[in-house]
Amino acid sequence: MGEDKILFNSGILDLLPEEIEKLKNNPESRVNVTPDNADSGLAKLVLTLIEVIRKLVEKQAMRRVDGGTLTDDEIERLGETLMKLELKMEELKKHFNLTDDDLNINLGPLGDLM
Amino acid sequence: MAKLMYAILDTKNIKCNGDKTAELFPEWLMNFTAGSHGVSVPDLKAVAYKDISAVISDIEGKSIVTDNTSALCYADVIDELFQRYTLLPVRFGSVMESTGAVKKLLERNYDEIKQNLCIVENKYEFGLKVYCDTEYSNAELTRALRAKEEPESGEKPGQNISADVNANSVFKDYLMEKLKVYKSEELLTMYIDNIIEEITRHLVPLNPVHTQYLKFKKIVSGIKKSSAIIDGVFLLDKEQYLKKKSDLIHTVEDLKSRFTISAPCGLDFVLTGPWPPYNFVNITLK
Repeated sequence: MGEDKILFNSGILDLLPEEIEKLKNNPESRVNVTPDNADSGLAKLVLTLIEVIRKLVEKQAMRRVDGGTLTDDEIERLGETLMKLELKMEELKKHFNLTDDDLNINLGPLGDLM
Repeated sequence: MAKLMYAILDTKNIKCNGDKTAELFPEWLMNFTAGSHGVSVPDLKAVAYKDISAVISDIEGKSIVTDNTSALCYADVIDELFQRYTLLPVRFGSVMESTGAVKKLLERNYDEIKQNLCIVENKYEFGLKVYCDTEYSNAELTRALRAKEEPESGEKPGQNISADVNANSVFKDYLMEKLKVYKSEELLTMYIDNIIEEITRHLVPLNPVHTQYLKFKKIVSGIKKSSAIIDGVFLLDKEQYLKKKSDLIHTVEDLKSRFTISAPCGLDFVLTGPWPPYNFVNITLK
C-alpha cells in the first residue's frame, strides 16, 4: 500500500510491516501439497475442514446450552461428546505433527480461517 | 493467446469510431510500462461492447503467476485507470480464452455491469480498519461489559444449567469453560456492534452515504495481539471528498478520541483510500 493511500493512522501501522514480513515468510500459512509430502499436506487440509466443522458444532451447542432448553442428562452427554471430539482432534494433530496455527489457514484479504 | 482482464470501464462519455483502444488509452497509458512500484506492465488493449469496455493484456499460457510482482502490476493498472474512468475492477487472475470470449462476457452481462457501474459512478472507496490491542484490552472489555450486563439480566454464564447435574462432573466443567469463551465472544460482538453504530453515525453526515454503501466485517474469534476487529469499506462521492478531504480525516480522528476517552481500551483506527471500488462489485457472471 502506497503511503499516499493512508489518510489516517493512529499508530498501529508502525507495527504492521513486521507482521506482514512474518506472513510472507510463513510457509505454514499455506496448504502446500507436493508429491513428497502428499500425506501430511492432505492431512492438514482434511483436519482443517474437520476443525472448522467441529467449531461450528461447538458454537451451535453453546447456543443451546445458553438457551437453557437442554435437560441435565443432555448437558452431561453434550459435554462428554464435545470433550471427546476435542481430544480426538488433539490426537490427530499430534499424529500428523500439526499445531493449532497450522490448521488456521491464512485466507489473504479475508483473514485467518478461524 | 489468452487474455488477462483488469477492469471494465464505463465509456459512455467517450466518443469514438469503432476501435476504442486509441480513445481509451492515450499516450500516457500506452507508454505506461512502469507503475509506481517499478513493475513493468504489458501492453493494454480494450475490448468494447456498446458503452462498456474491458481492459485486457495478452498472457502466455492459461493462467498468470500469482506472486507479489503480478499483483502489484495488476493493482497499478487498475489504479491508473481509476484516476480517469468509472470502472469495475476484475478479480486478480481472471483470464479469458480470447478477445471474442471477453466480448461475449460483456454482452451476456451487460445489464448487470451497467447497474454496478451506476452504483460506483463518481464514487471513491475508502477502507476503515479498527484494531484492538487485545493484550490489555480484551480482559478489561469483557469484565466491563459483563459487569454492565449482569445487573440487568441477573444471569451469569451457564446459570441456567441445573445444579443437579453432577457437580463434580468433568464434562460439565468442560462445558462451562466453553460457555465462558462463547459468552466472551458474544460480548465482544456486542461491543463491535456499538463501534460500528458509532462509526456509521459519524460517517453519514459526510455524504448521502447510503447504508448499502457501508459494509463492515466483524472479526471476533482468534483475535491476537493488535488484530483488526472491524474491517469497514464505504463509498463517498468523489467531488465531495476532493472538496472536503479534511472532514473525512477529522471524522476518524474524532472517532479515535471518542473511544479513547470513553473506553481506554487500545483501539486504533486506520483510514485508507481513495481506492477503486474493489468491494462494491456484485455480479454473478453468466
